[in-house]
Amino acid sequence: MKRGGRGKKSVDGRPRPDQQSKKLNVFTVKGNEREETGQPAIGGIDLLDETNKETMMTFVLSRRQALLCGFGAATAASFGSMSLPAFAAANDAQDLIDAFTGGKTPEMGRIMLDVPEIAENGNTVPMNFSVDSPMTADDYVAEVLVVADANPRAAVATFHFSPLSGSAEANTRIRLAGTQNIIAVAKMSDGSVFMDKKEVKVTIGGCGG
Amino acid sequence: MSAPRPRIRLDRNEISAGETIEVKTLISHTMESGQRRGGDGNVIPRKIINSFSCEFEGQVVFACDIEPAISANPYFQFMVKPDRSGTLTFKWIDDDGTEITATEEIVVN
Repeated sequence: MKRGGRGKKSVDGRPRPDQQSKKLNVFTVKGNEREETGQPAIGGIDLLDETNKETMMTFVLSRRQALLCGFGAATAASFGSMSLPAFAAANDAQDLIDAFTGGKTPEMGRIMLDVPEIAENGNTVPMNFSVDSPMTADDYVAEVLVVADANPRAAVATFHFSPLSGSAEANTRIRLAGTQNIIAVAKMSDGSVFMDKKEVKVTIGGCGG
Repeated sequence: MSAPRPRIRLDRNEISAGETIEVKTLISHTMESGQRRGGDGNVIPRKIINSFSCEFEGQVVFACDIEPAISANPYFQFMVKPDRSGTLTFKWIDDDGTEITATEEIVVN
């Protein structure tokens, strides 16, 4: 982790209100307007100027701030143009989906998965989904499978609905071991399958470390 | 630990035909996932509620097959659309076979 020539110990852990964006300038590799204009990269503040010494000190990060900063950088990078690396599920997620769909590939759509982009606590991540369906006796959502593709075990839950549900939606809280995709697959009464997939960034894993 | 007591909240108990009721349920349970290690370094064995169901007059309306990835003190929120007055029965089943049940009366006008 780059610390620059200034880093030794943090003198003052007090974060500045605009600290986040300035920290990113230290750790991200993205181009920085200020570099191009010849000014120092650190938040545009001239660190060679003695009167900015106090400002300079606040950039000497404590370890915790550096950790958070690394996370902030990663978040910013993914929000930006840098695309996330594609990765196959590390666990049995695909097997569970195949067993659930009977080998069919689910179409994206009709089911909407609602999860936070960033979960502060992997022990309890709110998860909500709703399926577009009339929920009549002839046309309803039979089951919804939810899996997490980087938990020790992918299965999260299988929900069963009936026409008496009125609406195929559910809300619960789940455990996520780390940043990963949540995949929800809905199986209709006629056997057709639909899915949605959302990524959740997890700062503190929820499987007991 | 004492037996877990479930908490159930319906947004209303009395509806007109065709309306839906929002149900929220919560039960206290550690939901030991079987992934954690205790102080002695040994894995703490899995012990979770593995099934939750909501029946209306004997017919399953909503159910959930629960895995260790559901958080402690499992919370579920869902909708029901009873077509007549009757009883909603909620049931939670633990890995060890223990069943916890609760009921709510619904009036449909």
